[in-house]
Amino acid sequence: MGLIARLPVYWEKLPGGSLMTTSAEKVLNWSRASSVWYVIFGLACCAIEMMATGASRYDLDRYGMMFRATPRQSDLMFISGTITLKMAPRIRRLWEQMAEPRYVIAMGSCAISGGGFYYDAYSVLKGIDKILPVDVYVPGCPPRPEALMHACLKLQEKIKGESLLTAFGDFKDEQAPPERLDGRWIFGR
Amino acid sequence: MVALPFEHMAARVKDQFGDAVVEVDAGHKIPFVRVKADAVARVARFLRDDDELAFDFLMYIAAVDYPAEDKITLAYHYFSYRYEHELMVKADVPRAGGVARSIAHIYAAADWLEREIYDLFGVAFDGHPNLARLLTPEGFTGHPLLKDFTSEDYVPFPDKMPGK
Repeated sequence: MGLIARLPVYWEKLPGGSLMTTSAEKVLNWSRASSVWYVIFGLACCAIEMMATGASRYDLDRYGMMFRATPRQSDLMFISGTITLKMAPRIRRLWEQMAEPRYVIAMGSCAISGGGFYYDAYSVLKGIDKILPVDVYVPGCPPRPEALMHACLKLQEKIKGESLLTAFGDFKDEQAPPERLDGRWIFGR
Repeated sequence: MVALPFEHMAARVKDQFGDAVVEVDAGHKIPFVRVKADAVARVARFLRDDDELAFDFLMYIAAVDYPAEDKITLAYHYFSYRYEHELMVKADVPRAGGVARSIAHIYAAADWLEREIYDLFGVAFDGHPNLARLLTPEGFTGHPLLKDFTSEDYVPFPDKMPGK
C-alpha cells in the first residue's frame, strides 16, 4: 500500500484484520498534495512548454495534476509567460476566484522578474510577485518540462509540510492588493 | 487588367491633386507619393474609386517618428486586387498635436489602424468615428512609440545583475 509506505503509521495486526492509526493532518496533506489541479491558463511561450508538460510525453497526470477549466475548483496557477500591464489585473482576478488554499508557480524569467527581452518595455509587469504571492519560482526561458515537474514536486513537498491551521490563514496578509493595483489600472473604476 | 507602373500611378495622382502632392519618389525599393496631411482622405477616395487605379484594399498604415525633423510620417499601403498593383502614400504631420484626415469612412480597415497610431504615436485623426486608445491599458498616459517617451514602468535593464 502506497499510503502506508509514505505516512507515519501505527499498524497493529488483529485476528481477522488489522488496525491502522495515523494523524488526520498527514492524511489530508497527502491527499491535497496528490491531487493538485491547475487552471487552464497560459500567457506566452512558456505556456507551450506547460502544455507539453501536461501532455502525454511528460504527463503531469501521474502526479495527480490535471487541467481544470475553472479557477473556482483549482488549487494551482502556473504563471506561464510575460505579464503585460493589461493582463495583470485579469490574472489577479482569476487568482482571487480560486479557493484557498491556493498556490502559484512563477514559470520562466518573465514571470519572475519581467524577463530578459521585455524588462525595459513600457507594457510589462516586472515579475508576478508584485501582485501575487508566489510559492515556487522556476528559472528558464522557457524552463524545460523537467524543471517544471521538479517545481511541482517542490510544491508537493511544501503542501505536505504545511499545517492545516496555517495553510489557510497565512495568506491573509498577502491578499491585500498591492497599492499600485488599487489605483491606476485595476478595480477602482 | 494590367498592373500600372509606378510612374503612371504617380502622374495620375499628381494630375488630380496638383499642389497637394509634395513629393514623388521612385528611387526606393517601395516607391511612394508624399501628400499633404489634409489631403489624405481625398487621395484615398480617388485611389479607391478611380477605374485605372482601383485600390480596393488598404494593407496597412504605418507611422514613423522623426524627432530631429520634428515630424511623424504616416505611410498608407494600398493594394488593388483587381490589378494586383500597390502604392505607398506618405503624409507628414507635426510631432506635437499632429492631425491627419481620417479615412475610416473610406476604408473600414483604417478604423483600428488609426486608433492604434493615435494610441502609440498621439496622431489625431480628424473625422474618426471613435478615436479611443486601442492597445495600452486603461488609464495609460503618453504615447509609448514616440522616441522621447518615458514612464515609471519603462525601467532600463540594469547594467549589472544583483550579486555581481
